[in-house]
Amino acid sequence: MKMKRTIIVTFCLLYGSVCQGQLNEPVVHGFVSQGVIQAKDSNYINHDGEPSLRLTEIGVNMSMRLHDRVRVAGQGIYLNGGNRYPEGVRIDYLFLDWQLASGLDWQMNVQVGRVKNYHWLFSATRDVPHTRPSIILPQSVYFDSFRDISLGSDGAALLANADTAAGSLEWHWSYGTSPISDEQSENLFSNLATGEIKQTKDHQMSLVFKPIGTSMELGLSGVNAAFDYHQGPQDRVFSGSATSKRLMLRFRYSSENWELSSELLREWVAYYGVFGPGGDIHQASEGGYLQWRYFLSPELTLLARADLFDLNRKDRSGQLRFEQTQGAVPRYFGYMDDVTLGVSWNIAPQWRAQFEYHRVKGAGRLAPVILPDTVHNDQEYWDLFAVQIMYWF
Amino acid sequence: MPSQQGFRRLLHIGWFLCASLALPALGQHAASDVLVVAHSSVQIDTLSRSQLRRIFTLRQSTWPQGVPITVVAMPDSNAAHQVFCKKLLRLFPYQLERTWDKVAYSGLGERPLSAQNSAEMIEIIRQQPGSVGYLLIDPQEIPEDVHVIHVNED
Repeated sequence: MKMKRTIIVTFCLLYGSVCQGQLNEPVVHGFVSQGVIQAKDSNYINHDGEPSLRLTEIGVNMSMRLHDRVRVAGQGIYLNGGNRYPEGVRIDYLFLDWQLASGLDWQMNVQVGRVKNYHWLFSATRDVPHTRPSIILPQSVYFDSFRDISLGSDGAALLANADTAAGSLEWHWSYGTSPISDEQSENLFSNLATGEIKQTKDHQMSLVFKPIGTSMELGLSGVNAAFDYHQGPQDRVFSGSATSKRLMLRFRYSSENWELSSELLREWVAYYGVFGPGGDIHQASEGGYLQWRYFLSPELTLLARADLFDLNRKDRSGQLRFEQTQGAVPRYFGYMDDVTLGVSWNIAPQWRAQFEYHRVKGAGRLAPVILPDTVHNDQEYWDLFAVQIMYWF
Repeated sequence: MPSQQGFRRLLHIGWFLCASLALPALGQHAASDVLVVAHSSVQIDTLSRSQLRRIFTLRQSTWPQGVPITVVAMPDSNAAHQVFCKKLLRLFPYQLERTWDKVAYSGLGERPLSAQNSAEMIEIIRQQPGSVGYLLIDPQEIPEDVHVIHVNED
């Protein structure tokens, strides 16, 4: 009898520890990619317009279950994108995820830490090459100079999803702030601005609906962000603040052999005091893209995309700004339209090569944003070629 | 009269075509079907299509009793995976793969465990508490110790 009890207790302990082991085992994934990129007649990648190897993306992530309903997840990445964003190692996300409640038709989670931006079509994995439709994402929505700010934030997020008779719903909410590096400040302003930008608020929300029995998804998202600027020594701009409010619509239709996706945005930007007394700016930008992908075979995917962006919807030609700056900012800084053609080739399992060509008109989405670089961006039309090899596990 | 004969001939051809297209499909259906299978500890007998889709798109992470769900899947190229995606989930395999990538590389959750074939699938389902997967199998040959979940295809 005693023997039997000992066996049962030992079995229970062993079983418990095995279960515990499964719960605590971290799951690791990662990716490595290298490419060659050339943006002629623009400062998008570099200043000389020569082919560059500054297209490197490396990352490792981990997810570990601490309890049946609690997980910790984090990803570290190294990025080199030339002038697109600051080069270096960073923590992409690191948060605690707690499943608050669930039924068989719904679930709600809360995340605390450095949370990701899950609100747009490609925002959650914009630095993970094999999850992107193209090497360079449409700049109207996925503006590289704003990357570190729109990537996620240090704060909290609520994620809820439910399935109803009409279809499935996903609702995401997040609140926090993003740290902004000196290089990022330079990207936004220019090296003539020596002060410091601080984000004071990043409030985002999104709702996605997939009607039942269709291969379609429709979404709506909003951003409300605020920034403070503290003037530095011999600064060209003044202490002040800025706000950015964004409203976006998204659509995706997936067929067996092709897929159509689109995101449209309107962004209201206001600068207070940054340009000196009486120099406040209020403007609304508009843009969006339409993207078509065709799955030629399990190995080959073709891409065609048109991306349009106007910096100020009341000055789509850039004429007003041209006049206000006495000709210092050419008209083509008022917009940026991009036609992209691309091919992706799955060379082997977990290996892919991507190639793309962009024909671009305008410089409205080139850094720096506030005091534009008219010296290196001296052409209205410019081209971009990129090829990238990627491996993931 | 000749036109009536022509019509009949057309009907015959039509029947023949329908039968030749439908019969092999029916035959296959009778021999093997795609079934949702789970670890014996899973106390769910029926799921709706949308509930199944929630589980396989990793939006549902625990069973009602609180046990974490472990999804098990076969590679994209596997016939069972393709039939399962299209017939039961009504999703194309690339949509599922894209969702899993988004989940795994943005911290939302964990990718499904990978089973290379039916034998491996059965092995994982047998051993891993809370696991759920699928098999393209003759319903008469369902292995022991594996719990079958009926899917209401609404």
